Amino acid sequence: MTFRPLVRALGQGLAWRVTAKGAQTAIVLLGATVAVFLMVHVVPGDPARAALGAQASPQAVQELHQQLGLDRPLMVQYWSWLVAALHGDLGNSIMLTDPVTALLAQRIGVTAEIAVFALLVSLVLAIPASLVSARWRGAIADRSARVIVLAGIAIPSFWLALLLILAFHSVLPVFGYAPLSDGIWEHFSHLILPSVALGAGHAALVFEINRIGLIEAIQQEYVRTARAHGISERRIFLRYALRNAFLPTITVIGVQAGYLLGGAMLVETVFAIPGMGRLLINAVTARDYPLVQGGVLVTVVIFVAVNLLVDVSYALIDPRIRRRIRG
Amino acid sequence: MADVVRVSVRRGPLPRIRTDPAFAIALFLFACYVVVAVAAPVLVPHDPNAQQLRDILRGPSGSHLLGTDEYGRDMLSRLLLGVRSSMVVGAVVALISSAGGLLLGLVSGYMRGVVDFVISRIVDVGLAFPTLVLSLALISALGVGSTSTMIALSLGFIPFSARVLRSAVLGLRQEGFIESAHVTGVHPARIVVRHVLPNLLGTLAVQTTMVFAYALLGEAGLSFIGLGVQPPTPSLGNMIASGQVHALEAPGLTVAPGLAAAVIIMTLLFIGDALRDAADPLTVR
Repeated sequence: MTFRPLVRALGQGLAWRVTAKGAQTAIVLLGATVAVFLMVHVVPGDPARAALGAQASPQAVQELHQQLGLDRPLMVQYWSWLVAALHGDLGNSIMLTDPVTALLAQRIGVTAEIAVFALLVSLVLAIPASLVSARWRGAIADRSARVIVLAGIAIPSFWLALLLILAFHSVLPVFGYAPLSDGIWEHFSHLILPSVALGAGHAALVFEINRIGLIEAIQQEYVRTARAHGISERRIFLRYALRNAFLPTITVIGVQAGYLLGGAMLVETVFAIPGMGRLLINAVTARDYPLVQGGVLVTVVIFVAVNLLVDVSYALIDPRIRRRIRG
Repeated sequence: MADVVRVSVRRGPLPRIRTDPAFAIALFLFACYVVVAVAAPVLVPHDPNAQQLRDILRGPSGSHLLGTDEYGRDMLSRLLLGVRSSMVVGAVVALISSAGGLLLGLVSGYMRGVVDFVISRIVDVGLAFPTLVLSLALISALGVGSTSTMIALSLGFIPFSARVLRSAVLGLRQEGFIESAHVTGVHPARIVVRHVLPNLLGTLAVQTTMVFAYALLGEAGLSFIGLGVQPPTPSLGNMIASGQVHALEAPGLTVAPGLAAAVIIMTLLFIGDALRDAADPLTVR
């Protein structure tokens, strides 16, 4: 996740790089499972009592206590939970009684789809805007863009979602989710407003990083050389600077992947979309620990995996590193 | 001690940005929010929880400047108190996570070695949890409410502050004046307190301001989904949520608290940016 080991790794070939990143990722994931497991267990009080509420009979509490395996030593509990999780078994939801894995599998696709579309929206908004801003740095458009960026980060996505509903409720569907089997337009039209609501804030971050990357890139010597050769500004920006600026941008996209997933859960609740958001929020309120633990663990694993992918893909995108690895 | 502090202030960022009008406006806005946060119980024109069921969802009028909500409660009063509870959560989270981050960053960056390795791996694990998702997990264990929200968000932001401050400490360690203090046999604790800490204040101020902004966003999100500040106590997040139901008839109920949140968050981000720029004029902007 950090930048420095990554940069250090750049010089040392893909295999070494993947191994090093893999080891670091493994440590993080192991730590994350411990954290997710302990969250429920270090809090004073019986999780079974908390889940069933104050009115539940002692017998019922005792039963759930045993069913959740809470009477065994902590290490034993962690180990069997971890082994089961590795086999895709995250236990059963207390409130819905279904297997957690099945519940998450039904909904995670929807949440991921919103996050991916929001990412696309943010790229479409931010990349051209950052090119304009960096090309005419300090001009009115650039300076107003910086204010818009702050607003983009400051405006809560779920509030923007409500404003979008107010503005577009007569034109676009504002509630629910239509599977692809309902038709392509039905499907996508339900995703437009959620993706824009979530993507706008993300666009602000992408814009900021890409703009700085572009400005740093065009101060490099190769750009001076290119200019001396009479290559057009347009070509310098689109062909040379953008490519170099995009590397840190991709890192930021990776770092922000988890926030897009979290944000998607919030935005879903506004549009009454049946994704992970509503499921997890209900689970938190009901203190449905297996479901909360499962949902959090799955989100963290996705987040970490995306970052690993981003780190490794860095080597494939940057021609300088690619050449070094081949030769 | 007084000497060191004075020197670092004189060389520090404040003189340069003191003249920037945009920064002055941002500081003024921040001050307004602080005044509201402190004095809201005195400032409110009406009892924020008094229901007048004959006057529900009224538009702005002389006695209710921002109108009334679905229970006929005065919106302005609720908004002022909402700003207060959100600001309290934001400030507490910013202070706790800065203090925690400072401690971890100092220990990790200054001791290095095994201690640094262990702390850094724990920070890595913390960073693998998106703040909102971590908060969901912690609130499920601690129960809903504003105290849980403060704990959850603080724990969520500590890894970020620790990472930033650790690299600042590592940078400082290589400075000549720290090395010469070492060589002359000054006690490490004294070096940290007298030489490292004063030079971290700029970074710490930027980080605290930024976390304040993100904590306000976090509070709004958690209260919006019903896990943060619990009604009838108003907060900007739960006011957006309760106004959502009547968004079409009375859009002001959601627009006003959202706007109040966006303005203070933007103000804090702006102040943080300006402090960072002033402290580090070489960065590209």
